[in-house]
Amino acid sequence: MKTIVGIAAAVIIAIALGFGGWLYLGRDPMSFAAGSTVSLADYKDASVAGVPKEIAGAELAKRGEYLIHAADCLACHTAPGGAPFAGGFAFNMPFGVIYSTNITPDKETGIGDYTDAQFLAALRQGVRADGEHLYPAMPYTSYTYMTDADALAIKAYLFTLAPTRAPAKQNQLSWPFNQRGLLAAWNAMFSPDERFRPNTGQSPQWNRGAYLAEAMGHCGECHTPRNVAYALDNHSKFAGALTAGWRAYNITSDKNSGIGDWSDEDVYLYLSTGHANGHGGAAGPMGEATDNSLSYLVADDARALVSYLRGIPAHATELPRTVTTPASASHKEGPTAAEDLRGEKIFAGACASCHDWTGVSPVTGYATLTGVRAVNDPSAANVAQTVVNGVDRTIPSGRIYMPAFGEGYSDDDIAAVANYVTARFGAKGAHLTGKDVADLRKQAAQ
Amino acid sequence: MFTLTVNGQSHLVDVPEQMPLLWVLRDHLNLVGTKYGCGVAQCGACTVHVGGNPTRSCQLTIGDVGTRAVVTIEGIGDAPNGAKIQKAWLEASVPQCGYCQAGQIMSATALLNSTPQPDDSDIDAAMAGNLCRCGTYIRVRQAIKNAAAKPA
Amino acid sequence: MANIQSNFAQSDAYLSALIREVHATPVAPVIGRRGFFKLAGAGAAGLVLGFQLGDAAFAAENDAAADGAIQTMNAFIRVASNNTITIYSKCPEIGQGIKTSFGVIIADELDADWNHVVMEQADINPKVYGSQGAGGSTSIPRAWDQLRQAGAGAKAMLIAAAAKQWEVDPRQITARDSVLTHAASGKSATYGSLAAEAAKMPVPDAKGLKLKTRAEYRLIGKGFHGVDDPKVVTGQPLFGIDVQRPGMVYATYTKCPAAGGKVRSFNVDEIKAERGVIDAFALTGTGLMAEAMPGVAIIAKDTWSAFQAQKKLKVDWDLSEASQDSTSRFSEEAKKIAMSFPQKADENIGDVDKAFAAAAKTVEAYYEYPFAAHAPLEPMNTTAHWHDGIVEMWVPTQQPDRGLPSIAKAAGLPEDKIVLHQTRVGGGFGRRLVNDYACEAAAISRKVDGPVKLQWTREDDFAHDFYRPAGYHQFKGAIDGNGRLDAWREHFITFTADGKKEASGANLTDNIKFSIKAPNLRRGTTMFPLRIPTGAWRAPGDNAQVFAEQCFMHEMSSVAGRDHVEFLLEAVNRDVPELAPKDKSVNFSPKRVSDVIKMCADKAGWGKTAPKGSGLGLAWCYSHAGHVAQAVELSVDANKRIKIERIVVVLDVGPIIDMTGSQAQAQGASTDALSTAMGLKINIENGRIKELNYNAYPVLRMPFAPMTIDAYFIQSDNPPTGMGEPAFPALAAALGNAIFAATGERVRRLPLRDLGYSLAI
Ligand code: FES
Ligand code: FES
Repeated sequence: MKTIVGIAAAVIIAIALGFGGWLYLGRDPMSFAAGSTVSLADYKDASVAGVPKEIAGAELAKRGEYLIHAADCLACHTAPGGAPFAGGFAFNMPFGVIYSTNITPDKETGIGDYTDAQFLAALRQGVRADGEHLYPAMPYTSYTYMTDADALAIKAYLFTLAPTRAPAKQNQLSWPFNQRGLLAAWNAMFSPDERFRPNTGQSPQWNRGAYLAEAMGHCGECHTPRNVAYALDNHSKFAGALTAGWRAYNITSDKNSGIGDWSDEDVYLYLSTGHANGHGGAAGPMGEATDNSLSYLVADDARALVSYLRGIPAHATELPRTVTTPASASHKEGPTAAEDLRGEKIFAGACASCHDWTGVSPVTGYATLTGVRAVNDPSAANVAQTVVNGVDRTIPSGRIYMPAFGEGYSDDDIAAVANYVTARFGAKGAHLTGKDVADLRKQAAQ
Repeated sequence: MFTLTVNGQSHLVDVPEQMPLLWVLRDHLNLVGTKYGCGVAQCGACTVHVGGNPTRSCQLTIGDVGTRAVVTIEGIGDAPNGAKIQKAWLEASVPQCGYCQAGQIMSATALLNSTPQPDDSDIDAAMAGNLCRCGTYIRVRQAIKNAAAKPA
Repeated sequence: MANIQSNFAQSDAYLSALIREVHATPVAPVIGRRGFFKLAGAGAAGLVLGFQLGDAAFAAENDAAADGAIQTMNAFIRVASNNTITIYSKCPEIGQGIKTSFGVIIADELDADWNHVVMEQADINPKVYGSQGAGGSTSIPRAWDQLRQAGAGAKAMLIAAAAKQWEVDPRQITARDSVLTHAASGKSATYGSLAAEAAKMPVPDAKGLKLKTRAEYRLIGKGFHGVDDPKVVTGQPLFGIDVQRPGMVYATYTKCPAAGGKVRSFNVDEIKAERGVIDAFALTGTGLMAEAMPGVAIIAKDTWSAFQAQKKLKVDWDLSEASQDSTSRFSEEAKKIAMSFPQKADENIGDVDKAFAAAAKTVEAYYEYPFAAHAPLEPMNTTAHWHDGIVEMWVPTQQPDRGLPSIAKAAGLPEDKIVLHQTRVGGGFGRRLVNDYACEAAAISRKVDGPVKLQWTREDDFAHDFYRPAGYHQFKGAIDGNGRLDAWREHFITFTADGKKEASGANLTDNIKFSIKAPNLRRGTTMFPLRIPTGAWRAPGDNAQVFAEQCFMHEMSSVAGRDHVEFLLEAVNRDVPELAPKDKSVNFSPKRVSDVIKMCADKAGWGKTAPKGSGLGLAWCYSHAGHVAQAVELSVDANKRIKIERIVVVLDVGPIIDMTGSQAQAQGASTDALSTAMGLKINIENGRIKELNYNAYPVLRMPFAPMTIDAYFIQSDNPPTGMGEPAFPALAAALGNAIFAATGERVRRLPLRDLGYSLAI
């Protein structure tokens, strides 16, 4: 008997260790790439980090400004309508609400008193000046790959800002998540605390792209699924995930569920403007990422990102292949969401005049639904979110605007219209209920 | 400079490319029958026909009109279905304040053009985007049916 | 619509010709300079026949007229030698059909040939016309006698001229379809041929004129096409927004998003550098919300350039006096204090406490409804032109006459330096009783060289409305041993702007106060201070109060185990002390209410057994002098989707002037009421309005609108009252009562979408 128990225990421990190891192995975002890595100092082309050559000669804070855009600090550190970088933005996590903090140089409530070392520790190890652990909502597991020089350039930029007094908002987390001490264990497992190491088996462009995607832009924080410990699971790198109520899509090179079928140019356009004809536009968090971060990248950097994305191994997910043919011009033809005509009637009233019954907009390419991934996602998460929140983005070629319907339309109606839109214009109709929409609303940040 | 064909007439307009057709019509061509109600494609008061399709002129920029012919409420009566709809509107006394009615008539005419014998669901599909704050929907629906029942 | 009277014949050929004719009318300008009316004897208020030939300016215009023969009978009527009769409508057309009804009233007394009547909008001159407002459904009752006298007076002058010419006794001359006939001599003549002579006849004393009886009406009561409909359906310029003047520029005006904020500074250089912008400046205004608040004017070459620049505008607002109101806070507070009845009762009859103690049954309930925006489809606008020492204006307003002083004040000019033209109005609903946008335009025009059109964006329109105030009602009622309504206690929680009296539109209406009859009655009010401006909103007060009170009546009849109709009839006919209405014109009649309730019950099939999930609800109101009952039959499914089976409206508003128009108002007001009850609300957060366009303010759309609404009228010899409002208030209550009948669930909060209800398709 004892032996059996012993064996069972051993097996369980082995499995647990194995599982743990597996989780642990999933923490390296660049392990997929063939080739060996070297330290940055030993790499022949050191311009993999830092700013592009166009502004290489600029003063420190100016370079920091470019990098802070690349690292997209603004979006999370600014509350809607609040002072830039003064924090207070709410993240609605499954275990409670976490607020971002003030990173203006205010001495009392911001980071005005931070030394360089303290700043680096916060940014790359998730440890703040008083020694407490930050929650990994702050993507220090990504920023950890940033070089000292780049991190301190960002700090230099932040210190040119006017200090804003904005005391931290109290997080609302349930037990045990409100125990910051536990993060030490989590960090031991999932925080690599190492700097970017270029891969000699890849091109300098790829390496620059990798640095921008991993150390700066932290794409994986939304696009890579999380494991049971809420850490990124790079076994399914960039295979897509539902983050803050929005679906971040599969951006691996899988042809059906990823972006393997997109042309380089389309990927480039999408990244730099948040829109590519035939693929639709970015909204929600990706819209913000584009507006606050990606659109600031110089063309070479954006192309480096494209090069890096192209190399991500294909990872097929359930997302069906995007339908690229328009629907019928008649409301009577084509698939409709089940027998509930409600979605059709709401579409007719609030949507059809811009999106048309065919899905090809008669007024602007930005409103064309044909080929848009969101409408081909049978979860309809992003369709529902877009209907609730609308889109309001300005890009060089004009304004992309869709009104927000969340205030005027019920969850039920939004579910009905999202189901209808995905059925009519996408690969497969969604089956959202009003309750699902209510949940999606709650998950969305703010 | 853009060349614009409205109600069969060609106009040269010197306006920025991003200006919505609505404001070109109203402020630059003095065709004020097309109305501004919301500016965000939610009311339908600005509906005109562009290349034969009902289009919200508050959303379509002049730069995107291209060579497509534009027909407005001022010109729709020259087409058989337009005249038929206008008469049906008069006979059924549809207008209350009347502000939405240009848009309603443009949408209804487009409906008859594509669907000469519309049923209620066709009417819903074509007319749901046209708000009437006065609540003339019952007569709008009736007038469309009356118009459809008339010989071409 | 077989019996519709037309001033254009029914034949297709004629309609086509008419449309062609309208097409051929040159597009600009909208309103020609027709010569501003001048008075022979100024200051003669109520002297409807005061406007006469002999006035040099006008005589000159007559001479210049194409056929040289248009005669002015009085301020309302002109007769041309070709027998075309032009009638001037003195009040604004806001969609209520007044321009048609006024014509019908005058034409009937005048015995004019309706097919040759042309209706025109009168300019603003209260000295000639008296009240020229359109609000509170009062245009018809106020003008009824005046218009009939104008018609009868002109007819008397025509008859006098004929009598003189024919040398016969005027009493033997009959009039019909613009022709006078003397049967005995066989003589007859058209009005047109007599007009020149008639205009020279002495003006008869208005009081001495014999007006027609109801049996003698030829036009009144029939159905008519809207007189402007041909222009509406062909897109001719009619509305304020359509006004074009040579050399016109365009303006936006941006006020603080939190009501009451003032401009400290703005990015003036940046704005002036924007494409198409001509000028930008701040105005302090008069500081009154109903006039001109501080803001920033942007003047541009066209509307779109002004709108674009407005988006770039960055204003540093001084918020020290700005609103910090919050609707969610009001709701919370109201709920908290609802149970504590105020010390002082506004009305107190009998002894409610005693009645409650002795009651067979008591019922308590708390009702609430939200703020609402008017959101008429034509956003606020005004065109103003400062020239030659005057400001000439084209204003889509409901209250041009009463707006004059404010506009003059905003322009910094005496009132007689303001020349106001009224335009057709793209929806009023009470919004345009306030002339703030006209005041702003007047102030802006003083700084612009040439005509300027101020155009609000839809967002401006939502953000700076005079909202229907929210309201909260705590009720307690008692049923006596005989199942009768015995006591009614009501704590009404509302708003005050000045700390003394209720804010505009926030008072318990007179109608409500005395139409709930109980032997024991106690009403008290609590007021929250409010900075957000409020105002009249289609059937002010009644539009939501009737929902609360008539639903609560239904709660009582249900608890009493009584038939609701029977309970209502009994309550309204109770012999209990009457509350004296403040407004003398109130003509509340228990009999007329009883009649509409009975007819409504009858038409709706009251008493029949409804299948499961279906229900019939009925409610009544006395609103804007109209006696109205409404019934809603519906079914509700498991997803709380409401299928409206039928809506019945029965009204007694005296005699009907225009049956087609009245039907339209009954249908439109019921549709509006359904739309509002189901979905409309305005949320305010920190003094800022959250709903800024129709995407957030779901006005009912076609697929969800009822397929039919059955309207019936009980016509009587009572003076006619207006139709713009009475068909609104009782609908929401009938809807709520029907939902209870169908589901057993009480709905005590509007809009119903907040309770999970929606309209089925
Ligand atoms: S103004 Fe274009 S749809 Fe409302
Ligand atoms: S008639 Fe007034 S908005 Fe439709």
